[in-house]
Amino acid sequence: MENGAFSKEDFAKWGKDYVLFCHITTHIPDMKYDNLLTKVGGQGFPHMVFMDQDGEVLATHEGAREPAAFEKSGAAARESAKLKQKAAGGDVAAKFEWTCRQMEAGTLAVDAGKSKIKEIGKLTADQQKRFDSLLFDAGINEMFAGINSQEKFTEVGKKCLDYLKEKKIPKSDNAFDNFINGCFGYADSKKDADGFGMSIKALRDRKGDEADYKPIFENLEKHLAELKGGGEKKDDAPEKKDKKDGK
Amino acid sequence: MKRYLLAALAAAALGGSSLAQDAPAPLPKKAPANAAPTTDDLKKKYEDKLAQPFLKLAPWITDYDKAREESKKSGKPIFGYFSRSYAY
Repeated sequence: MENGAFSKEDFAKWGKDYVLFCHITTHIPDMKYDNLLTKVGGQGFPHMVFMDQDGEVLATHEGAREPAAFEKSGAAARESAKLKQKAAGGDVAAKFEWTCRQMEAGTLAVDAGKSKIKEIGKLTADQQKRFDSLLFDAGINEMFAGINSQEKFTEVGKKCLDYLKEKKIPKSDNAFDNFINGCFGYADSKKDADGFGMSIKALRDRKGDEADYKPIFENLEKHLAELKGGGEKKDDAPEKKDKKDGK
Repeated sequence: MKRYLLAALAAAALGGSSLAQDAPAPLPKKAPANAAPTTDDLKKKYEDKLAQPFLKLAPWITDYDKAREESKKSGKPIFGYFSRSYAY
């Protein structure tokens, strides 16, 4: 992208209506704002957001990386800015919508989101359904943010696979990425071919139409066959291991 | 998303399995333990990143405080692009 979209003249032209801010995560000790990515809801690179003057995320950019697509997200950001203003002025509908958008952007934690909704009062059935879905996704992301060991990953992965068995699947891409990662990881660690197969199906339902995923599915199916065959790849067969170890 | 998914798959318990083939570098918090560059290495990588040509082709600001200050002054929203220098 740096050598593509950002190096083209039309990007510089588009950028005139915005303050262009490039944040670089360095891992240099004591570097100011080095963990800003997580504060704006980012979980990987690259991540693109539109923010207001206080650094509050107004919109997250997903999709095509070219000025026309950036502008679409920019328009959503301007709409969010108006919403934020209306919410601050006491408009209840705007408060709900702004809270939902903050949760979608990953900048509002589960507890904070619940508190904000509590302030609003009773929700309509549709609002409650939407908010519950956002809470579920945010909860998945929070579980993953708290992973600091293989044991914790296993515990979170188990929860994800349990959710999958209950057909509870996150809607947002960010949460789904974490979720499916947990499902695959747990199923693989337990040599659970059924769970692994269910995870493939969930990913296929989501991404099966994308040509780029073809090799991924081939690898997943290959691994599933290995799991069904007893959970060992040929390379890991005992006789080969012995040879490697010089026994 | 595909890049993230591949990275996540590769970095998780599946590491070393056939799933990890062709996967990009894992996410930062799951980086391998032996990848421990010195502070000087990280500073050098950061300087190299700041010298990237794309940052000269548009008026990019790399300081968060300055970006917010400029947004306050101009009334323009901020377009934030998040990248990294610790790994290429």
